[in-house]
Amino acid sequence: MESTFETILQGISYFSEPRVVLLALIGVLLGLTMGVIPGLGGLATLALLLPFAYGMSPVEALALILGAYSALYFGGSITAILLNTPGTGEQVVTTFDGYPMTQQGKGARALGASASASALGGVIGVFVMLAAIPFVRWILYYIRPPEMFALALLGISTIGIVSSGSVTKGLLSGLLGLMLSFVGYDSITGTPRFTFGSLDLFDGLGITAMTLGLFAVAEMIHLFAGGRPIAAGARYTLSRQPGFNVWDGVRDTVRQFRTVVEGGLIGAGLGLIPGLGGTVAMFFSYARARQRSTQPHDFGRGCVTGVIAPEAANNAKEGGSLVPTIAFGIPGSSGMAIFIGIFLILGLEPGPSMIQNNLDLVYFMAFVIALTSVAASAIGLLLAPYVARASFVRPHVLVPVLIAVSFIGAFLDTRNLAAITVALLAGLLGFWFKILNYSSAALILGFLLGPLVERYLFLSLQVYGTEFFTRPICLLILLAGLLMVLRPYWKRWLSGRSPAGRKVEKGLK
Amino acid sequence: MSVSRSAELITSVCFLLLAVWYLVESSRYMPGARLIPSILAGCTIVVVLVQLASYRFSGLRALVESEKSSSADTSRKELLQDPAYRRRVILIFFWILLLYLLILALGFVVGIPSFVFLFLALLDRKSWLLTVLLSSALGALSYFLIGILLNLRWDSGWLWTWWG
Repeated sequence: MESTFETILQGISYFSEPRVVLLALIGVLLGLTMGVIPGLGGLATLALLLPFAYGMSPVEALALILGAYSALYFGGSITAILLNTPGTGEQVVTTFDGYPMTQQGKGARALGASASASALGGVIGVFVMLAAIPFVRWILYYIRPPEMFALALLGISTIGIVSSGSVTKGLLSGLLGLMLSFVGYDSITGTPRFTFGSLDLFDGLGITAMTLGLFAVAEMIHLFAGGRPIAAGARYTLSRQPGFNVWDGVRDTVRQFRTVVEGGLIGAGLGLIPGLGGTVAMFFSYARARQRSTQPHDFGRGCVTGVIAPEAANNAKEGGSLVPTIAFGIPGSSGMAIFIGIFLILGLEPGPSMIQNNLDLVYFMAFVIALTSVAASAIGLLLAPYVARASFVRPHVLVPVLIAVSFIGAFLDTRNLAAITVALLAGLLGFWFKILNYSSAALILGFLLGPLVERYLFLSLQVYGTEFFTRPICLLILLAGLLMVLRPYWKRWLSGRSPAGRKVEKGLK
Repeated sequence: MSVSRSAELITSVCFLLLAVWYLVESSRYMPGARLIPSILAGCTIVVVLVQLASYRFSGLRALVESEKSSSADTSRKELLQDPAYRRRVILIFFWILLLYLLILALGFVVGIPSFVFLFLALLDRKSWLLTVLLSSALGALSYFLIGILLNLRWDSGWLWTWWG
């Protein structure tokens, strides 16, 4: 039996073939391109590359497809940062601070931070993936529907953290998102809800259409009405100046290494849990970074930490979500469900036998994810100063192009024309929210988590009855959520009681 | 009452009406299907009433207003007071509606470049070359994504269907 070290070396040795390296690079370029186009995203990319798996060896096919999959999230981050247009639904979190940075002329710096955080996050995800394989059975055994319900509630508790403005506006935004998430066919009871009898609404409103409308279309309305470029008043040469260039972003990431590691561990850890979704990981990472920050009020206004945290989680989660897929054949995300199909085409059987008989390929996949994450980021760093010029384009040129691309993106996700109606209405809603300082971020978070909360609540009740709350891990997670909600008020109360806090209060009054 | 204040009130009332409708609509479903929607609607009604009360009572407003608000947030509301801004919002809204109708009538492959061409020709008026290039590029992108990548019909749209 080969030792672990020999197996790792075998995995690395596959890179000695130039064809494998070339295919990985082609995958990276394809992934970056696909990621930039809103609506194409992970699922469409995998589905489009799947036919190529037929003609290749497992090593070559995995290099191409994993390379594309690792790179496409950074591609989505580029448009999220520069144009407030998330390439995939998950990049919406990156827009919270990435786009305000672009508005301040720091688009290149945000891209640099995103690229470096993505690369490091991808590497962390791979380490977690390799370390977690022996323990994934324990994780999947103890994380059951009650724990998933508690995690979804924990996600909802971050609504207060991600929303700015008044408490009631943040709550209303989140509640609206939750209400909108229940439009469609209820898979638990078989009831179509709030569909007005329309078949187009049976599958719900669609996360891509909602995201593109709320963020991209809404921002384009605001940009056109304002009459000034995104980075108003600045020139593109700003992206080369100190404090504004891409290498400042890289330095920011290095200085905030703890945030990167935390984000990476959150992303990879939550990626291990099937069914939770990548956006939740990014929201958690963002919320955690904001809570830990000494200046939380800077978040949402162009704080580079607000870019670093979610980007690290975003790439890390892919390594995490591969674990249950490979080890048990349980897809960690919808993209992983397609991966299972790819494995079968390549003659690989996901599950314990893959760990036993093809461990060298598992290590190879880990290295592909790590290296292609770094490669995508390196390409991004080289292109960032030029790509950042998009933020200086005048609105009369940018607005029609982006609105058109957003509508195409909304349609691409579901192939249903109703999606562009959703994008249009969401755009108007998002613009209204923007003006009145409601939180589109809270709305999207509620929209994502609503179905999870309901599904796992009913599963928990069916399997465990009302006592499911008493499960220890479930209780711990709920307690963590409660602490997260109460923490700002606790801190405010404490600072009010301290002599220094009273002095500050007197000074403010 | 200022424009922004009116907008806040109207929005709150809209939330209230939506929540009431949501509650009434969900009462028609079976118990399992209406449980969480009813809870959400109830919570929304409570929060909206608190919000409406905060407009009236300054003490309550101080409680619900967050420290996170900034001058940037206030300036966005003040944009509503600017007639030029409001005019441009209405203008872009009608252009987006036009795009929507062009897509429904002509399909993506024809509708998208037509919209971009009209927009740049009528509103930008800086360079015909840029107008033609951008329109063509977006048309090509639409055809590539819709026609080639997804293998859908490029001539989907009411007009083509009517034409036969």
